Amino acid sequence: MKMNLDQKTRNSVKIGLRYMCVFAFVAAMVLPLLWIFLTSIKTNPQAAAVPPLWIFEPDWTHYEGILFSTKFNLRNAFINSLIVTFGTTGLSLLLSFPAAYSISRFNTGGKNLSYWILSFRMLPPVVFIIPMFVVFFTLNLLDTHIGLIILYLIFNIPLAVWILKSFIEELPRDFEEAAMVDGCTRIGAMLRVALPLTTPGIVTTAIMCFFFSFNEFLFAYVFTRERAITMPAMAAVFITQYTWLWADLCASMVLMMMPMVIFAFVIQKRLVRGLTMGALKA
Amino acid sequence: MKRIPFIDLKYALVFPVVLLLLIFTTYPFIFQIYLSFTGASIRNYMTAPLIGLENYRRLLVDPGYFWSTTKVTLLFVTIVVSAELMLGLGVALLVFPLTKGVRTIVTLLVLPMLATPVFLGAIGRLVFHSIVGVIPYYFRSVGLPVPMMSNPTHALLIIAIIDIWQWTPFMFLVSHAGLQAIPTEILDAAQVDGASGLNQLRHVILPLMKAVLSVAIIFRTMDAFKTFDIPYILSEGGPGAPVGATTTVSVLTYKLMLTYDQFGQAAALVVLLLLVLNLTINRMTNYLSRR
Repeated sequence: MKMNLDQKTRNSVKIGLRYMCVFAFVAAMVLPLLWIFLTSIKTNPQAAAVPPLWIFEPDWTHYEGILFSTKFNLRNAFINSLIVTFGTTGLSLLLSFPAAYSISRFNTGGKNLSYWILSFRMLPPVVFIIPMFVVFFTLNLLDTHIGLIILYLIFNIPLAVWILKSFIEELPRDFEEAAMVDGCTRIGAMLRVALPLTTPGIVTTAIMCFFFSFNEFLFAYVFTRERAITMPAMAAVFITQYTWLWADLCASMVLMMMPMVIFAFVIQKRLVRGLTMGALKA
Repeated sequence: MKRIPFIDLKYALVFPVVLLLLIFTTYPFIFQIYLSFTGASIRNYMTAPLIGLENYRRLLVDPGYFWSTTKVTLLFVTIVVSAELMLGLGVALLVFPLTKGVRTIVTLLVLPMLATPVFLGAIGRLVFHSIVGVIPYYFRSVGLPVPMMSNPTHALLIIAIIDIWQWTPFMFLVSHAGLQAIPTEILDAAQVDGASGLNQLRHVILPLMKAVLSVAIIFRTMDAFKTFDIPYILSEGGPGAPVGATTTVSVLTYKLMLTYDQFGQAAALVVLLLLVLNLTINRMTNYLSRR
């Protein structure tokens, strides 16, 4: 009996230690974000105060400035980011769903085709900037929304095809076959049977495309200047022009993270699957 | 209405995607190979004179930027991927037997992955600022050496730490999911057989997680290799120029192209990069396809 009790206390001490280590780790991960948030509600001089301020009167004006005024062009950049991101996400899904369906149902092109598509996601974006810069210059696509959307498709299509493929493969073929026996065409079966059943996959794909396009910096920085500039590119311009406006910069980042936090929450359980493009079905 | 023949339909469905990607490969790569043999700049890329292998000579022999940037990139990739793997797996193993609060832990750990990298780089300028930065301030107050962006080793480590902070959660999530997928009977059996914690880890848990962890390592290696945003914004590839302590391959290509206006040399660097990547990407996709 006494042995047993000892064992129990030892176990609870062990569990307690585990919680302490995990807590320290979680704190280290969350603290920088908390600090960024706190900085976003400081005044700009407070943001660079020495020693660092942890308690102060919150100042929410930076958010107002970004969202409701044309100050620093940040609002414009935020709107551009949304336009480009939604455009890319929509187009990627539209183009990728039929392709993913064809690949998973008819094994079109075998392994070669699907891995050829995947290899685009593996290439560093930097390999595209030189030739595409020349093309865009010739076609007058520099600094346009549509130009940036086209570029983002290179990376979003592989992502979308692979995630959707992994979801479609999980659907039993029987449903579509039954629909076809009842007189549905193949396209009808794809659109009316497979498409609605893949909704979780489509949501996951859309959100992964959103993450990629919303955060992308290199293409945005090289291919946009003024009219179509997105938030990430704007951040780079911002720190060289207004080096002392730290609070505004932090507020922009918090605004950027907002939609992503909501979306990540939506696909919580499928996040790993999305991040590994369907390779891990955890 | 006549039915569309089966065989045509399946190709019609993939056609738009294949066409789009073909346009993106064929032309750019041919044009890039051509450019790599010219002395092109931003104004004269159509009329630039052919200079043979001069761009390649500069990259590979004198002054050999290719080797220095490869070294920086590989060092960065090795540091971040191994640190992320060990930390992520370690924390997942710590969390594994816990019952309460696991969902909260997972939710909170997702947050760093959602941060826009370029903003992290930009804000990093404030956080690591030698006078007003929070981190130098607290390092100084406890008497630790102050991390400085002007020190090559520190600069690379700072860039690596930001990446580790952002992506360890990914390794954690994958390891966590992998651990959940191990059948409890196997772990119970190991326990009954009296295997110690370390032996269980080495002989039971790790072999079962090998496949899952490999996928995670492939994805992280791939992305870490591309790193551009943070080293470009935070340390501008420096300290040191033209190939500084944080000049990754992506940063160097960008700088050659738009900072030094050497389109030809940038193109040559991309061609070399593609030759190397061709081999590694093939291996990675082969590995993924065997699963």
